[in-house]
Amino acid sequence: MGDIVRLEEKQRSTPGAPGVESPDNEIAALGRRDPKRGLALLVAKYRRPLFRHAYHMLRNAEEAYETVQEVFLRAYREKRLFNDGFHIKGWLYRVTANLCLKQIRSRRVRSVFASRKQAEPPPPNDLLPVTQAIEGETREEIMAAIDKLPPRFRSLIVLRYYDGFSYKEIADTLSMPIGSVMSGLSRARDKLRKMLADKLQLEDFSS
Amino acid sequence: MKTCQELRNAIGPFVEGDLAPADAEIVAEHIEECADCQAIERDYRALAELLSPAPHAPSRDEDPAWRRFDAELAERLHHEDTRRHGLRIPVPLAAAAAILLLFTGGLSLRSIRKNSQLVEDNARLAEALIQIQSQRNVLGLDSTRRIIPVQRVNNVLRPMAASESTDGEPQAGDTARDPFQPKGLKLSDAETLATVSFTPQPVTTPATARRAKKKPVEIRLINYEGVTEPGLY
Repeated sequence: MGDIVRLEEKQRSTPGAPGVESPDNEIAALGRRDPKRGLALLVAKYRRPLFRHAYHMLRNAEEAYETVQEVFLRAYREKRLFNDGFHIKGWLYRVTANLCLKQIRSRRVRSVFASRKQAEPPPPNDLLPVTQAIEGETREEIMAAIDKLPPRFRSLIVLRYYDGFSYKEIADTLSMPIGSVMSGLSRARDKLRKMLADKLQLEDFSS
Repeated sequence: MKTCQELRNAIGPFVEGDLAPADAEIVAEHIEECADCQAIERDYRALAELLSPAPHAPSRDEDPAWRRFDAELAERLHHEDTRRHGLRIPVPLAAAAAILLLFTGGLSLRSIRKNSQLVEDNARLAEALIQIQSQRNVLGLDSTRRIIPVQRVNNVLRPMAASESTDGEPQAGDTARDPFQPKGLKLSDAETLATVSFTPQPVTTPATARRAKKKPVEIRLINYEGVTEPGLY
């Protein structure tokens, strides 16, 4: 009983303390006073969505895991992280997106030396969404189609559809003009449209 | 009047409801008249449906995989701190040491060896701390603690004072001092905050991995006065 009372008092005593759900500017304000606590909150808030992004880009859970670790390590080194007006979310996604693209490039270089394709380990279930909107086979086909896109286009599709970014946010994240985002997405959609022609007809028929 | 090709880039944003009303009207009018663009619009709607992200399970931070993620990150951040605090041997010094080693056979390198021993001990200490903390769902939300440099005396890791120059037995009344003590913070006392036995796990650097022995080691943590905010020390 006594413990419960103390806990309630403690919660009351810090009514405005930022938590995982707080907007980035509140976390930043805390981060300026206590960088480690600020970073801990950012980790708790963003590790999941960043992992999801990295996983959709890389389609390899281990690589995605390492990528997100590296992102937070870089965040720790980033001096401006908690500065007023610093766009934390955009920065985190930009670093993640760039590291993924770099990783894909380095795979190509490696594949010149070792061309055998390694069997992809199944993703750890607890890191990925539990419920999937689309069932097995279709989802696999969509994933395979996205995998076939050139990495830049894949970035655009993942940011737009899986991370739910606006055109403006994508432009900021990938440091591209918004016009290029639009035309890039348009070309990416066209490629997917061709690859998934059967599925799209089916989808259309059912609706 | 925009051409069909020019409008095509706008069909995606149109389907997803991202266009300003005036622009959306232009695109809608064009789609009415153009069979090709109608087909594209239809397919894009289907595509948006297929690509809609899966609903997410509620955040389950107690998942073991995320605990592993946090613990590993905490460890990496700690190594980063150790590096920042200058415990690594600076490059020019290392180069000088290498040259010296060539001529002396390493006889006069006590201090450098001691330094690398220190790095090694800190790595092991950090690792032990992470093990301890990970049991408490870390990102170290309970810490008035900071790892201080240590040295090993009779297989016990002991806080090392800045001015310490010889390896000796711990003296009675020996006060732990922290050469990297943050400005404005006072050690609350020299007593150990916790003494934990652990068996070193395989560690990341080859040097430490080689030297890790399967003996329990005592870990000592130091308390700071007035530090109540949690952090990753």
